[in-house]
Amino acid sequence: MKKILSVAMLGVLGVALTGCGSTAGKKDDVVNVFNLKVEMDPALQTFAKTYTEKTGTKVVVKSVGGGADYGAALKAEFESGNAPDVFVVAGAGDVKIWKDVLLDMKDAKWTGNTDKEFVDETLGTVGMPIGVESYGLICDNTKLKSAGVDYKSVDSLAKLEEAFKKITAKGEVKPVSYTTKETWVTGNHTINILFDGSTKAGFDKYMSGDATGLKMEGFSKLVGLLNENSVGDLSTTDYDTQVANVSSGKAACVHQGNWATGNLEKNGMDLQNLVMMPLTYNETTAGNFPIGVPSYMAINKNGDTEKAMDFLEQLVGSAEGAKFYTEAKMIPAVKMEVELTDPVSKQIMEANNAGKAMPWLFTELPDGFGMNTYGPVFDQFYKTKDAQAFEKAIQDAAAQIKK
Amino acid sequence: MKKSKVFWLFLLPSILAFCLTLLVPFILGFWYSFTDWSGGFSTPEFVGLENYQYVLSKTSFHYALIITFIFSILSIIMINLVAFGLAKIVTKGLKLESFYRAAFFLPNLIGGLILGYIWQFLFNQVAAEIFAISPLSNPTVAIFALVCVLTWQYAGYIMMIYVTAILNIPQEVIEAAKIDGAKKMQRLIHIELPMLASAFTVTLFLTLVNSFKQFDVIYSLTSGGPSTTFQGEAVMGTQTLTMWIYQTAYQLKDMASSQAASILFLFYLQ
Repeated sequence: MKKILSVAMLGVLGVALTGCGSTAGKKDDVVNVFNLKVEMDPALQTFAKTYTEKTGTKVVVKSVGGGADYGAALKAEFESGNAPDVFVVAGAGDVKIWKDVLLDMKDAKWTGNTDKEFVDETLGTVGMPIGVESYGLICDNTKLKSAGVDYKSVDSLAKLEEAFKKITAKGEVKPVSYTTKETWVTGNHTINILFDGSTKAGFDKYMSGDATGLKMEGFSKLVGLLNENSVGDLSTTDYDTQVANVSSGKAACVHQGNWATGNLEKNGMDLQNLVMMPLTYNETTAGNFPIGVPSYMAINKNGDTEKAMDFLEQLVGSAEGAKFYTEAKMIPAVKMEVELTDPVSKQIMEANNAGKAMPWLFTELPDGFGMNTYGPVFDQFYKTKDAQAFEKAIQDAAAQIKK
Repeated sequence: MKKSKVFWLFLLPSILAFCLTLLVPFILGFWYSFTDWSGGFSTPEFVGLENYQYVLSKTSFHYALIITFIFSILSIIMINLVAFGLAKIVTKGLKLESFYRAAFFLPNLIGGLILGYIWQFLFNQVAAEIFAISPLSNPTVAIFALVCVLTWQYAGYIMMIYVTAILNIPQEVIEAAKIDGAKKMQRLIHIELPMLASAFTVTLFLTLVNSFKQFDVIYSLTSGGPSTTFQGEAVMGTQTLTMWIYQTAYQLKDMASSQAASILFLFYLQ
């Protein structure tokens, strides 16, 4: 009897515990936005406020970011009964996880103004691109000028080599700060230059397990050039060190993206002095910037879809939205009039408009595959300088891509 | 045996905590390791031993297994040697004895992550200046660096166990040995060490489990790097089993395989 009683009590307590979470109710007139990029939170809050004044729809923006596990936080948010109407997905991996709640936004006004939306074969247009980012060599232009390098003229491997030589000859600084510790730099960003240089067709071939699609010619030379002209021990150089190397005047350039300009500015550099040079190794990549969308806005189809839809349309299609982009220092992925103040952002926007853009093909790799597989390969190449083994390892990886 | 209602009532919080934080996750995890669970909303489907096959076929997993064993053996030896040495020093009857005990114990109070980042600075900035290369740059040296940091952190804790045990050795026995003409070394090997046997059981067990499970220090110190080659493949040099499990789950987003590896890890630890 007592046993039964105690078991029953356990049960009651269990119900009481889970009961707290199941009071799901539909909220009216509120658009809940769950944001992943904490750095754009202030600008988004401001936009939400003006949007509420304009339309009367209340918007609640919640931001989670930095090192926090967004996936877990988002899942908790959904299960708490306070499911967000608008949330962020990072790419194919996230879309797979959230496929049951994503709304097809094919009728949204912005779809005509961009070619960077996330389209899933079965789910439709499920992601609105928030902004574009690009990477290459972010350089301190004063250092380039004093070495006699014009950043605009560097659009081939030979010219990059020449520029490095000039900077080295000048002797003030090392040409670049690269890293093989941060595997997202090597295993995602650097390797992507190879994918872009091999064209989409070649990359698809590689993805299906056939390494002959890759155009290796010259790629190991580019990576070798970065390895040998870099400051410090690449195996232990992390992102902060990379940034500090440029701001403290140890290196002229850093293999990073436009996101690093914010950190450089914090370290006391003038944004107006920062420029970007492309990473290229063959004709296909010559002078082009890899421009991609790191994350998308998605709509929960079980939420208030009409209001959510309008919110996103306003974000990328109104004067207030344009102000949001200026304030957040982001480059819109949807065509709109936005005032950008820093040269690197301007360069990226110009390249994007002029068609000098290459896709981020690495995002099509399975999650984390690039970092885990190519990361150690790049570090080995840095240590052994064995270009043949380096190329072979990249080619061999084709067989490991698990579908 | 008759247990009263009150007995169960008092036990309830612990039982509940145990079930919710250990039993349920363990059973769920065991089940998930046989499915294609991705951590999202999708219902996991049974795939049999596929995850285990995948995990066991990975070169990086084999490497992780070996490096974990090497790391653990090295740190068990190091920690126990250092801890025993320290314990001998602080039971000699020095002045400021309790101050030394507290000082040696102190590193254990620093959280693993913070400790890792402090040592990372020491290795990458300070040691790199002195030796012209950071110890964390070479995979073999990096393993020793990790062992050193772990020893620095954990030896103080193990020392306390030895201290208690040493203080519990009856002085009569030692004195009798002295009278019989036993030298210092002989006393240590034939009298003290056998009398410390029970302490060794505890410390060996603690260091074994602690070294195998070590995660936060490795994560913050090297995050698995630098690279090395193993069976013709480039792998992460200090990627121990726990790091492998973490990276498979959160970088490769392969929850099910990671779960399978955790179950294997549990199996190896047994």
